Amino acid sequence: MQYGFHFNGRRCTGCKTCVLACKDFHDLPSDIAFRQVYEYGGGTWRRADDGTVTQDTFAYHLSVACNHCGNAACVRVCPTGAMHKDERGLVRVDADRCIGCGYCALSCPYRAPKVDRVAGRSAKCDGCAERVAEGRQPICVEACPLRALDFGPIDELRAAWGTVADVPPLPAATATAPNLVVSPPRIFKDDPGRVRAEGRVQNAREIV
Amino acid sequence: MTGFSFAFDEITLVLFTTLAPSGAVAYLLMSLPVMLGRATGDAARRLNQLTCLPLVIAMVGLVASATHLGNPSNALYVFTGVGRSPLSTEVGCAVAFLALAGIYWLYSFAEHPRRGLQRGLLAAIDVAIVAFVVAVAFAYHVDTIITWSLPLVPASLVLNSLVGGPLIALVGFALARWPVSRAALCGLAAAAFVANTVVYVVLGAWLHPLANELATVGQLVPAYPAFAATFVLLSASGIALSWRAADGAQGRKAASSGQAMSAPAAEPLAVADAPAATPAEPLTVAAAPAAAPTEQGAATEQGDAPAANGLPGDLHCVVVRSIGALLALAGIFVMRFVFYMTHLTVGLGV
Repeated sequence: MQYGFHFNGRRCTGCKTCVLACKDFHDLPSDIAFRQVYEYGGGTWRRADDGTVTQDTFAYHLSVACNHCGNAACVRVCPTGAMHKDERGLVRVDADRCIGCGYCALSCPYRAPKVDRVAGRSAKCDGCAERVAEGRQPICVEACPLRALDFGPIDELRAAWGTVADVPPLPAATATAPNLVVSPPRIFKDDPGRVRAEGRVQNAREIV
Repeated sequence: MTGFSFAFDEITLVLFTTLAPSGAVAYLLMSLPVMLGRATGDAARRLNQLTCLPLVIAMVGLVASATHLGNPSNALYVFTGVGRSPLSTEVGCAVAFLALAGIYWLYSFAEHPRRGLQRGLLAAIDVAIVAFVVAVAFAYHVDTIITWSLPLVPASLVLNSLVGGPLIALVGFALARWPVSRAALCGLAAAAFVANTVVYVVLGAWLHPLANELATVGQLVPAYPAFAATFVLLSASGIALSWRAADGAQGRKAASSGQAMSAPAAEPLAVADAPAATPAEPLTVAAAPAAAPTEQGAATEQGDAPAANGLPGDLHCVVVRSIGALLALAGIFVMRFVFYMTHLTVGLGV
């Protein structure tokens, strides 16, 4: 059975509790994060002659971790087979096989795998596999105060929430077949063309 | 945001992709006289033993690449991915090349080596070299990395090796005192250099508009034309220097022997470079002197006479050709660095 994440773009406020809960739970250093929140926005504002200001800006947040892809680039390129999919379809690193070459990190379009230089191997979101094995949710899902994240069998998530998985700034889903469902933010649902044309990541310097 | 820090983090891979393919091609070129039966006796022995030069260059590159691994103790698992992972295939080809070349080099010290075995081994090594260079060229050809999966990217690395390889081989041939045709080797390097320059110009045009959600190639490599110009300057200087080195050596030898440079019987390098003496020679080695092949070693010994300045006849040639090869490798290094600067995936990878 393939597991995956659901992200509700209409609920997320960009508080980044998911990011910090993940870093805390996995005891990650400052330069490694398994989950990131992208602030995506665009548009302009202008001041009229009478001093009033009008704007057509938009912004939304997207919480992104490993999407445990069906055609995972990291699994394809890994020279040792350390990067593999487990029985739940979660992409995990076998520390006893990883050589820390970083090829997985180079090839992933979601910036999911990181190279832990101290440990000498790749590190990434494993869907909190041990918690899931105990019947619990991943820590990011449990921590989200808005309940914008969910986790479970991807077929059930798709039945409930649809099949959209490539809201900007995410790449086209055809690239790696992510096991992710996104409930698009309102602005994207209303005018996807404008979002794709004008939007850009606003917090690039935050991203690790 | 530029790609400099990323490329600097991967500096050992930059070094690897600069040295190893060029060293491998140099090995292939240096193996041809023995493999084709044109070098025998002492000349073959010298060539065999001097193949350690390109071999060491390739190994320095490989050792450098190994230093970027976080956990080399698991490296044997790499072989489980041969054919599936491009990186595993690359390592597999490298190990095949180095293992065969190492065995061959050790066997070159045998008192009575079997020529058939040597030639067979060299043929196998050359096949491994071709596979290795192609494998390195495609090692990062992954569809999610939009800047590295362009069709001309592998071509640029193969051409890099054809620029650097012949110039390293020229040094090896000079050390081995083998009368190589510098016109053929410098010509090969020059042709590859021209093609490589064209490839880099086209690649630059292809790369410039590429972007993902976090960066554009223009941001990652803000001075691509300057890098490409540096490559052109360094590589062209290297080829020119390597070309002129033979002239200098010949001139001194001619002066010391009091003979005209075109006297073929007494001057192997002049024989190698005289078009009339090698009208139909397609390889990088000169035609054997008119005498039996077993006399080649003796003929080349004459070319080793002390020059007018007291230096061994080939020393100046070796030094100048080495500088030429280093210049070309420096040019290649610059563009390999640029390659890593351009890393960009679809989506969010920078």
